[in-house]
Amino acid sequence: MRFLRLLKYKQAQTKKVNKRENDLLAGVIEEDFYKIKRMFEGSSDFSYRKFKINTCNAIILYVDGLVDMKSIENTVITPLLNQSEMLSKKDSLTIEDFEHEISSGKVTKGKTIQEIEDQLLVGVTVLLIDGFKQSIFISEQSWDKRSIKEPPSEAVVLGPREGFTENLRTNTSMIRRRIKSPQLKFESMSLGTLSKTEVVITYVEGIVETSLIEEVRSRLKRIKIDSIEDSGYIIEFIEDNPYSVFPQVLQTERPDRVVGNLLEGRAGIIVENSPFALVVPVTFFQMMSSPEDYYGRFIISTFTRLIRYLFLQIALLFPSIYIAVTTFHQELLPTNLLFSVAASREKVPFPALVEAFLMEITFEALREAGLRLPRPIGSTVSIVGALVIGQAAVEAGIVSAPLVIVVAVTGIASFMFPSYSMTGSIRLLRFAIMLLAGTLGFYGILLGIFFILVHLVQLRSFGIPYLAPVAPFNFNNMKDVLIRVPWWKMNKRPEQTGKRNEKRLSQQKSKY
Amino acid sequence: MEKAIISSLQLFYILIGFELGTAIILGLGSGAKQDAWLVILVSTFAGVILMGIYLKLARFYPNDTLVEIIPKLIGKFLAYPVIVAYILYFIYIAGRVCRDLGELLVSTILVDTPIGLIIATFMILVVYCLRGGIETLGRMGEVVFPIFLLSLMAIWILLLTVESFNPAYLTPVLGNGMKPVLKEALPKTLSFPFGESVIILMLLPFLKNKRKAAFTGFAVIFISGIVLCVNSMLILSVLGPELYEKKFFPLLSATRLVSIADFLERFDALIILMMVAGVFFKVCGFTFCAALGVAQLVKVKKIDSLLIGLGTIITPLSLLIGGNFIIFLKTGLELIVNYVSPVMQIIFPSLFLCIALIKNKNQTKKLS
Repeated sequence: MRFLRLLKYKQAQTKKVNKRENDLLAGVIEEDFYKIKRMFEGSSDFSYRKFKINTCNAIILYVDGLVDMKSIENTVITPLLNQSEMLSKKDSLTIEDFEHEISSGKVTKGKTIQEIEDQLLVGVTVLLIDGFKQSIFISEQSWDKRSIKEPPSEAVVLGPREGFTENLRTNTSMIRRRIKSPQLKFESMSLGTLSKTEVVITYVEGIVETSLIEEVRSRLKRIKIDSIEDSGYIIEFIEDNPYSVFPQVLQTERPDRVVGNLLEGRAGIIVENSPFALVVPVTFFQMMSSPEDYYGRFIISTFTRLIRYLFLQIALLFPSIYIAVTTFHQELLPTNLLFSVAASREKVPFPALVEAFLMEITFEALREAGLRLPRPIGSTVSIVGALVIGQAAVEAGIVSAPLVIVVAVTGIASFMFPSYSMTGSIRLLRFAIMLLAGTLGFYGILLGIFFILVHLVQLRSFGIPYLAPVAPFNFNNMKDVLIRVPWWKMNKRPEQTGKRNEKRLSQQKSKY
Repeated sequence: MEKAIISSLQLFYILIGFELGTAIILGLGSGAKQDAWLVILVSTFAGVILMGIYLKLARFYPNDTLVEIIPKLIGKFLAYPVIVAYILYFIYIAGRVCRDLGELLVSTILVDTPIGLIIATFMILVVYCLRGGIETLGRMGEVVFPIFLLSLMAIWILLLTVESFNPAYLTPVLGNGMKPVLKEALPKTLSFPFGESVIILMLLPFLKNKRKAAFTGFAVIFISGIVLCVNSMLILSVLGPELYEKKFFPLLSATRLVSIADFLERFDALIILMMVAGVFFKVCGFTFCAALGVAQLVKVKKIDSLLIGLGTIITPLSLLIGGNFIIFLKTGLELIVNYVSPVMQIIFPSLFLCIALIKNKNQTKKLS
């Protein structure tokens, strides 16, 4: 067996050497067809149809499932068969004569076997005609795709409801529909030696810094992997600090969010077969702002944004504060509250740190289980979880009632972030700070916060400081950080990315 | 040394964190009783003059740190002991400030925790931050200082609500004459905290816009002087001069008296937050300057390993410099403030400035 395999390998090697010479089409249909057929040996989706145009032999090749058969029949086969008499009248036929008969929108030609292989694999139909050293490619691709739906990970009440799908063209069309200008560019490249995934860099020329696009391009080109299944693969390759817990690339399902970022001078990366587009560079504060902030009234948006920052702190710190207060600083609680907390903790056999860890991890498990399980069972999990966490644990004296409140509020708080990847970072850091709080109390919490801050001020996303515009400080850009000023006041793009074309409004708002 | 660059705003934040860091918690000028706030005002003006000396000196050598300036002024052989003295001074003060923090925490919220653990964890944080260079410290200033200031404002407002708040404690103004005030101000309050701005000489070469150096330096002294002055007035009004003198951490003691509606009380957390933030800048600043000094003295390019070394030195040092808190405070308030600091902060820089002035005059003469 092994020997045979080796032999086959050797044959393949010699084939490779000869490939260049054999690559050109011979012009003899049987020979060319045989070569292609051998290439696709064992692929059941490779199909072909032989037919005759007048006296000429012709073959149509395609990969079943990627091709719209009906339109191939209407635009290629029928016209060629019907017009064969007219073709026969001519003395010397050229490949163009055949090409003109095909009534499809996108028709090209190629000379090599390699081209045929590449085209077949992306769903192009290939027409070979006996006696010609060229092949005709007809792009009538069609495959089953998911329809455009509301993005489940970033739902909004106000604002557009369409989300990206797995189909690249659908996604680019959604962006194009929002910026109807030739300044919007889609640069395509293919990544992955096997998967040959199409990756598109999108940006608005004239706003974006060219150096940024060059950086994105070169970082993407450096990726040498066999296959890319999702945009998540790309993130890990292009991040500035891959060991950081914080996401340095924004993943979004919303075309409006991508467009909003493109207009601020950032670049988008759209990956075939992934409904998540990437946006670079990002800042921490951008991760914390929801697209809805820009669609609602600015006063309300500012309010919700402030609430979000408040609950960011709660999500990160609340269990730690509970641990610190009950373990070290009971005196920090007002007396009445202290009594009720102490009374409920009386029965609990664990130290606060263990108690809180137990509950938080249970909560994480519930969350994960709820995500993984099929919908109908998911609700069962939540009911059981509510009972276990909520009542039974307290009644059994394993955890105290105040902790249940703490965990619940923390849980709610951790679902408030508009960026799903940020949620994970905060949840993870919460456990680290809980440990610090359990050993060093309030000082430990502060220490944890300082460590996170030091890390954050050092972090960069494609060269842009992660905490911009707070550190380094820029007063003008603070308009869209903690608060959101009305659109007619946002007359400049963010300084970090939109310096090239600063002006956003061409006219101030007039008074009515 | 690769040149990291900080903006004038960042330098301002670092230095003001430096000035306010521990000074705001400890009772300044307590020897002058109810006139403590006057002490601070007087020493602020003295501090402005001192800052003038530093800035003038820095103007002669805009791209050199203090460690690089000294050999140019007094020659290599004389310079070495002076530079080593400065480095040791920076290390010592860093250790002292760490100890301040440790003592505050141990005496208030972490009663049974070994002080060594607190200081060691803190030094890890400092080293982690400084590995990012002065830029990271500057950005930390931009993030942390607003929080610091907000907490301070909140505490001030809370202090106004205390029942025993009585501005009459501030009278009689100059009841004992000018003498005790001046005695407290010079050199005690001048050298701590205002004189500690001597590290501006180490940081100025990193400043992006050199023309803003003077403005930044004076702004730091003025603003920190005013903040400290208001702070001590408020604390005095709450505690009265006797308690102000006796308490180790007057601001903390005053804040503990706050009680609104019997529910909003015990704002210790805010004080601890401010203390940790302030001490962070102070220790970072001194450790950075010490590391930079060593690096420039022995001509090392990277300060990363030096920082780890300094961290391991400062941690035990801070425990060794005083057997207990009382001895520690006594050496700090008497020995260091009266004898060591004035030499490093006032006498040496003035001397250097004189030499620089003479040298410069000669040079200009030669040129003309």
